[in-house]
Amino acid sequence: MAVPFYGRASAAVFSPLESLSRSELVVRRLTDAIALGLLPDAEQLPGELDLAGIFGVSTVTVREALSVLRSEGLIETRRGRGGGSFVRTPANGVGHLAQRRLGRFSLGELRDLGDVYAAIAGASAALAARRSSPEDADRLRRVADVLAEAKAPDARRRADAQFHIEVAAAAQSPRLYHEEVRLQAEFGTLLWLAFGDDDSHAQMTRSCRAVVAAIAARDPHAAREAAEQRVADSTARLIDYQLSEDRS
Amino acid sequence: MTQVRKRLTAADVTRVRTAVSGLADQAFGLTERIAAASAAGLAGKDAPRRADLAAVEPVVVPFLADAAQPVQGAGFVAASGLLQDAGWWLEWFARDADDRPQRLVTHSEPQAIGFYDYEHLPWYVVPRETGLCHVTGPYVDYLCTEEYTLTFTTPVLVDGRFCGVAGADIAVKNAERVILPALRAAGARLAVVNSFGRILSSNSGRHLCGDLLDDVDFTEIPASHRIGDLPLAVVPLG
Repeated sequence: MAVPFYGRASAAVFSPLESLSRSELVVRRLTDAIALGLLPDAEQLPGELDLAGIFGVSTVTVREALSVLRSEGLIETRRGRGGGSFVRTPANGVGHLAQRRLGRFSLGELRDLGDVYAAIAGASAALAARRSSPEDADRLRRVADVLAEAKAPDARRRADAQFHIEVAAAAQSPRLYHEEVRLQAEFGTLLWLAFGDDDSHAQMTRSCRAVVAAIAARDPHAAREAAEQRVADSTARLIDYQLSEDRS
Repeated sequence: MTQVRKRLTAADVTRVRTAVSGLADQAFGLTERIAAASAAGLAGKDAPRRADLAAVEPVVVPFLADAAQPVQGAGFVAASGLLQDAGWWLEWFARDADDRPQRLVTHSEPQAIGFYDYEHLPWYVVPRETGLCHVTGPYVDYLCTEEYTLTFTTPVLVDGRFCGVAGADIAVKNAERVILPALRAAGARLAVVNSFGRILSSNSGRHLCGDLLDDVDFTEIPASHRIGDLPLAVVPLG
């Protein structure tokens, strides 16, 4: 088989397209959300038309995805008035759902995702330190407080996600913000598997405060370092988690 | 050859102020009409409901449909607890990717993912605290437009009671398109900044949109360089 050579500059253009089909991507996104408790039991999903609009896919694709989720017992669809699709948390818990997705990644791939996330989080924090007004720093402090006070694992995950989003917004860069959202969907959902217990929560709260302090002090170097460390800690925890799960 | 730095002239400043004021007038012209429509719907009601805000849509949607004006989203944001049938509510419309006006859908349940908690955000807090119109931004509006945005808000009062804000969003890239000719025409480097010294737009590659100018003390800027009473002003760049 001939391997075409396009040169470095064209690499992105001719890289393979996302290998999953559109409907598989929708299934994965909704399964992740159910596994993480972001979509709690009995929550009603938006209608097919709305889902199609939100994900930017056709209603046929949405219907395909919902039928897969239905066959896996993750949603229940009721007809008629007050009908719609409702989340069904599986009786044996959500751990195995997330585990199944995590199991597809090698340790090296997880490390690689962590490297990219650290680069984005670090750059966002460094720019936020250069560009944050005292008002921005106050807002970050409030989000860090919400994280510190959160008790339930899913509330902690939401607060952690919100903190990353706020830092990316404080960098004043819509593109870094969008990259943050993309990475949260791809990798944050995995990181949160190993996040939520008291131990990890204490560590994340500490590192959050370190990022806020550096941004408030307008110190880009310290902010970058603290944000990179924060992602490195999360990634290390996830890798440890996968290693321990494999043993059982 | 040494380049002689030209001084900023009164005409340079006036051109930029006129361009920025023009944007603000368009946005606040709309928010005033939204405020009037909301207040009329809420007046005299002890327990108002979402349906009482029906007059907002016919004000906003035709305005957004006019592609020649820069506002891309607008509406009324209710104070929490104001409405009987929603704890939090945005009667809000925005252009979609095809430039068609659409109603904004958000969760109003605080527990739901995607819940839109606006009661600590500056575009809501400042008009509530001061009773005055406000311009927020430039900022990354991750709750609604997901773009770099300016938000213009006007407090809505009914019988002296704060009921929410009427707002209008203008994307920074659209604001820049309007301001840039005046910036280009200037004989010296200058920037439009907000009260934090954050640059909205400038004619210098070294001082870009979103950067903070550290040496700006907004209270020291003369009225001749301010944009009316708004937290925006024209400053020379060193």
